[in-house]
Amino acid sequence: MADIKLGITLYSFTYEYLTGQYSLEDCVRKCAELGVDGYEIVATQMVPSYPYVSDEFLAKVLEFEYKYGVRPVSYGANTDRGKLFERDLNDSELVNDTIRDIQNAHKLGCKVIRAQYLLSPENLVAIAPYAEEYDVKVGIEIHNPETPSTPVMERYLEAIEKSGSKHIGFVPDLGCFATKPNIKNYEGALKKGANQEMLDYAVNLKRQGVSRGEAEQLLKDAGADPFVMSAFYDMYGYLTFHNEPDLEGLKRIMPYVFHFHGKFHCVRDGEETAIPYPEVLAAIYDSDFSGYIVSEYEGHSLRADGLIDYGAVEAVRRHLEMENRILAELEKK
Amino acid sequence: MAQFQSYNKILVCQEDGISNVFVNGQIVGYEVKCKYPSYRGTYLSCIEVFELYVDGQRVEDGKISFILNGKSFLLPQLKELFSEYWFILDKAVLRVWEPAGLGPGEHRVEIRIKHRIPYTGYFGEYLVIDSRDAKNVEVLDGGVELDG
Repeated sequence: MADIKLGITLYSFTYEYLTGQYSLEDCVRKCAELGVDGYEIVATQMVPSYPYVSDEFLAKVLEFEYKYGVRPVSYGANTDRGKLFERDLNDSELVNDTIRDIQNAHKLGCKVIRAQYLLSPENLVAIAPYAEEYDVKVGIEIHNPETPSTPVMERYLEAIEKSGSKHIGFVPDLGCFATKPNIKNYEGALKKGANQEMLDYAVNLKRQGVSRGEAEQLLKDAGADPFVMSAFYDMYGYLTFHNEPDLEGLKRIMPYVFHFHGKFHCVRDGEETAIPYPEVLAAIYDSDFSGYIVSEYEGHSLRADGLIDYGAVEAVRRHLEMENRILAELEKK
Repeated sequence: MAQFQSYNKILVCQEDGISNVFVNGQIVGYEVKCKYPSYRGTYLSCIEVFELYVDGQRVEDGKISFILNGKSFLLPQLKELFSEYWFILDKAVLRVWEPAGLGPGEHRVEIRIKHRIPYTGYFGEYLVIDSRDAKNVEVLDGGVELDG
C-alpha cells in the first residue's frame, strides 16, 4: 500500500502572484491554511536569483518554514535547451545545467526535481550519479499529449531500467489521464459562441480515434466555426483526452515514480471535470508509491472567462477535499 | 499558445507612469517600465525582437537603454545575454535618450516583442511568440534625476 502525501505547487497561485495579490510568503501561508506541509516551487517563476538560489532566498524559505510549518519538497526545473539564440545547448551543456538545478534543489532541501522532456533519456542517465550524490531524485514530467505508454516515455523507461539507478524516474502529470474534454476547451468554446453540435462532432471524432488531419478536414468540410476549430486543436494537443486512462502504463512505471503533479482545472460536485481521480488515485494507492501528489491548478483564466467565480485558493481547497475523500474511501476498503 | 498570450497585458507597466529623466536639472530623456509577459522569467537571449512605440512612432533602437539587474544594455545586445535572467516580478526600465523628454499628460506606449520559449522545441522548432501591449501612460510630476 502506498504512502501518499498531499502537497501544493505554488504554480497554482500563478495569477494571484503575477498580479501582485500574493507575495511568495502569501503563497506559502496559503499552503499552510489549506492543510499541507509541503510545496513545489517552479524555480524559473519564483526564485529571483535564478538560475541560482541565493542565500537570501534560502533564508526566506527557512523563515517561512519556521513561521508556517510548510517547506519545499519539490523543485520544478525547466529544461531550457533553447536559451541560446544561435544554437541549442548540446548534451554536456544540458547535463551541466541540470546539475546546477540539482544543486539548487539540494540547497532548498527538495528531494525531488521535475525535469522536462528536452532532457533526453541518455542525458537523464548521465545525471544519475550527481542525483545520487546529492540524494535528489530527478523525474521526467509526463504531460499531455504524452502518457506513460507513448513511445517517448517507453524510451525513458528502458533507459531508467537499464541504468539501475533509483534516483531517476518519472513525474506523471495526472492531466495525462483525462477522459473528457477540458472545461476551458469545451465550456469555454461554448461561451465564446461555438456551435454545440459541431463541438460535439469534434469530441466524437477524437473519441473514435480519427486522425488529426482527417478530423480537421471533416470539420472544415462541415463548416465548423473558429471556436470549434480552436477547441479541436487543443483536444488533439496539450488538452487531449482518451477513452480509457493509461493506468496499465502507469502501473508499469510506478517503481520509478516518486512524485505526481495533481493537475486539475475545475472540481465541481466533488469531481474533476475531465480527469477520473477515483480510478487514478486507486491505481496509485495500490502501488508502493511513497511521496507527494502536489495539487497543480491550471485554471488560472477560468474566472476571467466567466466559467467559475472563485480564485486559486478555493480551487485548490476543492481539489484537496476531493483527494482526501477518495483516499479515505480507499482506506475503508 | 493561448496560455502564453494571456500574459501580454503585463508587458507595459502603466502604474509606474512615464518619468522624464534629468541631469543637473536638464531633461535628457524619459523612462517607462515593462515586465516580461509570461508565467515565468526568461533569459534575455530569448528575446529576439524588442520594439518600443510612443504615440504611434517607433523609437529608434539606438536611443534606448534597456536597464535590468543593475546593468544597462542596447536592444541589439539582448539576444547575446544568455546569463542575464529577467525575473518575472522585476521591471526593466526603458530609458530613451531624447533631450525633449515627453510633455505632460498621457502618451500611448506600445511594446512589441518576439520571444522564444526555450523549453519547447520538441520537434526542433521552438515556439516563438509575438506579444504586444499598448497602454495610455501618464507622465509623472518630478521625474528622475540622474547623478551628475
